[in-house]
Amino acid sequence: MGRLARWYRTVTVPYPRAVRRLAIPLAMALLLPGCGLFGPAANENERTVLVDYHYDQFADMFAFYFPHQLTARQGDTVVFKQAWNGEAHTVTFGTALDTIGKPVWDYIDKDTQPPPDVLGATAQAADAVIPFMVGQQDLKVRQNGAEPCYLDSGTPPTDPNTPCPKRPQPAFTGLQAFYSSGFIPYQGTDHDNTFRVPISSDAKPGTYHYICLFHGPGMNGTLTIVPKNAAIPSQAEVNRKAQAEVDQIAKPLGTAFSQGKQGHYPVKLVAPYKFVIAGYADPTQHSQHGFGSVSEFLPKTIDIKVGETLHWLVVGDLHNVAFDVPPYFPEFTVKKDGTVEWNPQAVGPVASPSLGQSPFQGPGSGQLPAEIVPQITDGGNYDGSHFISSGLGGGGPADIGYSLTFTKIGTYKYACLIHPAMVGNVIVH
Amino acid sequence: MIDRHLRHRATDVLFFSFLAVYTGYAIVALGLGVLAAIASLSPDLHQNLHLYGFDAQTLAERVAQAVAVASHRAESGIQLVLDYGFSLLNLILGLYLLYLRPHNPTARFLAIGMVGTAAIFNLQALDVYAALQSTTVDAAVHYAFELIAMLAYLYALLTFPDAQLVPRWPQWAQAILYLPVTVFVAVVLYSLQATQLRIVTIVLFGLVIPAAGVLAQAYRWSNPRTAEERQLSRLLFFALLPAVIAALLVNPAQLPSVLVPSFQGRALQEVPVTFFRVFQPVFAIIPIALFIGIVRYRLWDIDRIVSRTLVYGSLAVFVSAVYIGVVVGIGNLIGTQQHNLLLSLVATGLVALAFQPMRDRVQRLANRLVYGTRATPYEVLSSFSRLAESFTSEDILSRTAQILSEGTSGTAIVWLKVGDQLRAMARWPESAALPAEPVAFAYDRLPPFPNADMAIPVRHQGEMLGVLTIRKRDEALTPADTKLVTDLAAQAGLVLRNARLTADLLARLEDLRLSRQRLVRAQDEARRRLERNIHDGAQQQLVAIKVRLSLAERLIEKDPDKLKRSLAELKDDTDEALQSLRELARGIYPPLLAEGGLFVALQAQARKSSVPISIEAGSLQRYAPETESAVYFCCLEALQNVAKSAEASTATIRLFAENGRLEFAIQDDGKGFDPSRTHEGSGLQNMRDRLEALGGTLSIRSAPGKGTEVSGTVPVEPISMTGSPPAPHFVLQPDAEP
Repeated sequence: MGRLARWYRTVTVPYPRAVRRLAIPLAMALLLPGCGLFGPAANENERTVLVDYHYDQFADMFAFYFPHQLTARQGDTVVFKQAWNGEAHTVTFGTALDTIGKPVWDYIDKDTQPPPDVLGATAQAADAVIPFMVGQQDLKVRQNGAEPCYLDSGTPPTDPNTPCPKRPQPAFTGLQAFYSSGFIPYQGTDHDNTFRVPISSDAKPGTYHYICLFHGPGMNGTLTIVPKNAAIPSQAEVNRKAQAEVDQIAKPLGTAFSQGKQGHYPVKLVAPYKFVIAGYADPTQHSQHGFGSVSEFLPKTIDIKVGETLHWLVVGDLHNVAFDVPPYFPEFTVKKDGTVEWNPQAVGPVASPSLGQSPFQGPGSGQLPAEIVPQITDGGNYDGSHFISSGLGGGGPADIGYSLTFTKIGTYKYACLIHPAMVGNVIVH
Repeated sequence: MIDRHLRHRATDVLFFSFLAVYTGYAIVALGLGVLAAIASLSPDLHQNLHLYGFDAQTLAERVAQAVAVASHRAESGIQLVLDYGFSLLNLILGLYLLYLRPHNPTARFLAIGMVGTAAIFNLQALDVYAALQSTTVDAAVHYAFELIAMLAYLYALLTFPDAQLVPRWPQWAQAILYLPVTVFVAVVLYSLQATQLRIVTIVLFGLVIPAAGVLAQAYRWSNPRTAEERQLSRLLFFALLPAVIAALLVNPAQLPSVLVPSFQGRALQEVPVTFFRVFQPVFAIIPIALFIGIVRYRLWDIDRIVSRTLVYGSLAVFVSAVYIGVVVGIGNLIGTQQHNLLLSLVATGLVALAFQPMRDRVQRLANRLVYGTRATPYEVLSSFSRLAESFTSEDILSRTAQILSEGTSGTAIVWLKVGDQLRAMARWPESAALPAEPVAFAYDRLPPFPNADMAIPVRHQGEMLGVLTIRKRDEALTPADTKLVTDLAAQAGLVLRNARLTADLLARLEDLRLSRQRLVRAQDEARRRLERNIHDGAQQQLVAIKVRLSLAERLIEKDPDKLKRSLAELKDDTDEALQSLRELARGIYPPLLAEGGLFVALQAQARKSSVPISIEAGSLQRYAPETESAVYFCCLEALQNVAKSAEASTATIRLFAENGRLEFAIQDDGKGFDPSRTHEGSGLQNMRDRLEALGGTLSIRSAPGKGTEVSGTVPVEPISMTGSPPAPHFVLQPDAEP
């Protein structure tokens, strides 16, 4: 020990005090963040399912639950963590869903496409009972679907303006007729929004389906409840599965997008004018559990001569084109009394005729035509002096479009109002 | 005292702990950037990061996710090198600077600012942060990190070099100026969204902070407190100027498209790479300049560097301008292709012709800009030389101290050797008093000066005349300081010698004045005594004789016998009167001395003395009367002391004349005395004055129990005996008695 002390002394003494003063705190400092980073482990009684996903190669919208199948125990909590990509999602369980949708679930659980007649019948039955967030025809927000709804029995009100009776969220027992998060509120573009489902300790073991009331049953998942002491996959395994599912969707989409960037489109476009593709999708993608698209303009920056007309062709999802872009706002807002509303600016149109809706919206909506002649809504002349929005529209394979004629030289920024990262530039010279 | 010490320790501990945490954060941020770059090359790592961070719950998971996302945007090799080169430069420079000057406030601010800049201005690390799904806490921490870096950099530039804020108002006024601004900036930044915050941060760093620094340094340059401050502020001013100019040039082009509020909250796909690549090199100049300024603190080399930079920079601009102007400009005019050989040759020729004169002119201009009126130590020395040549200034020593102090930026004291002590004669700055205690030294060796950082003796012709001491409170002496003091000491010899001679001369003059005063007084007294003696002695006796003569006149007829008796008495009275007059005369100038000289006169006195006295005399001649009388009365005074107080048994008088000097000494074997304790009697003082008035000296040596010796010398010229000595005023005919 004496030797050690002596050696220590000879080692440290020559060093000036300043270095010694710095050395120990510095070492501490390097350890501290380590402690912070690798902090308390995630709760073992929780499992996280991602709703939507921020893909890092391109701005996206993934209407999926990742992973779409989860096993949890009685007493666990399932945390649905939504990544905000501009799209509204709900997490909606219920015996009503399981019962009414059973014919379809049988196919979907096996990852096969349900036959159209089964699909049709089930859809009709579902429409009568299950409220969707937004009317299919009128694009109005329906409170009975958009607000949280927990019903032990019965069905949600049929009147679109009547929400379910308000009550604190109960634990999920598997017996509730309807168990819906409603619109999971927006918490900022950089923050994830969460809906927690505590499973009651006496929940009925079994498999329960859930869907998104905004995107429809096409966006679905299952939760399998097992007894308290059963073994379930760890969060890491769940993550692995989820990551694989993300890749399954994202990679082909990415490939298609790259192809599109080079001008290779999966359909023949009859578009003899300068156009920007608003959004992108992979028409070959047929997942039974959701659908995804790219939320970007292609190309992002485009040159055009003054007096020339620029077209936008909407692909894959509802988008709009707006100039003189205001600060970002979410497409839905939740008022103090719980009412969910469209943000009026988002839906638009403003100072422009409205963009149309594609008949090809949603997954599996029929075969694509061999060639597409886009239907263009002309927004008229634009000189950069005011706010203009085409209104939400499209959702199909570039069959819906919008056009503007630029009358003034300059660089104009525009955006799709509902998707945070979807911005583009028009350089008019 | 203890309180202050404790406070300093507490501040130190606080600061260094904070710095440790801050640096840790910066290093982690930079490390994550590196990780992202690695992940872009290794798909496995990328996948694992994605998996680990999949559900992004804990900070670690979110960070992993962010790294994975950022790895898609990883930079190419060159970009990475630029980024991390810049970051490492700032990190290392900032910490090294702090290591060298741990207590300098500017260094501390700068360390924080530079560590922060290293992490903030790194694109790769920024990518990771931008990809992070941050919670409120994360965002607040990162925001605090950036804000602290900005403020630290700002305050470093404002307080350089003297750790005080400008403008030089009282503290409360400065607080009123700076606190609200700081708070305002902090609040405004906090209210911005992510991407706009990024851009505003860059604007602040790139434009506002350098601009504030430029203004502060310009203020200091025009109102410097010391020569140092003037030079350092000039250095920083020129270092910041390119940053401000670059910011002004680059920013307007980018600003409109980037600060448009409509993009608040929308993620920018592109990080403003151009911004970074412009500001990184510009921002590298500032810490380098500050580093050099603070560490070296003597700017002579740096002035050369700045001057050379200015010169070669301007020359580069000139060459490029000529080349471009000729080849492109004229090329366009006459419509030829860009790479016209002839035009290139013409351009080259022009440059070759104009280079040398251009360079001279630019060099002169740069020198004028950079050096100003007072700069190098050589200029300091030359100003000192000019000072040394002037003989008149009384405050030459304080001027020396001033030059020394300003040259080294420390406290300078000039010590002068007085006797065998060193006395502090001048000090600069004059804010405190001179050290009162003289420092003793022996054998021409430099004594220790515990309060000084450096003490150099000043010698002139081998003799040590004084010492120059320097004390620097905050920093150590630089090699340049040492050199300056040594060179100055070499030159100061003449100055100190002159100072000392002047001092000596003044002291001597004073002495002379006093001695003359004493002589005059003594003369007056002697006259008064004479007058009294005549009045009391001889005059009275003569008056008495006259009375008796009148009485005797009456006795002529009445009583002839009584007359006979009266006349006999009168004869005796007259004798007495004569005797007193004779003695009086002897007191003024003894006739024996006038007739026989020193030896004879002293011999007569020696016979009268109670103590046996022997006289030795050699090669004595006759000398001027004032000389002989001075020596005679001196010996008389000494003999009186011997008789009165010495309690001696014998005494010896020695008289010698050689080499133009008359030397005398009276030695007794009496009880002696301690000369340092006994005040010299007025008699001996008078003798000393008389001797010194003749150019001679008197010295008294005695020790208790060892007897006393009174000795002296007078410069003489022997007088020939051909003529009789000039008669003094009061001389009586010598009597016939021996």
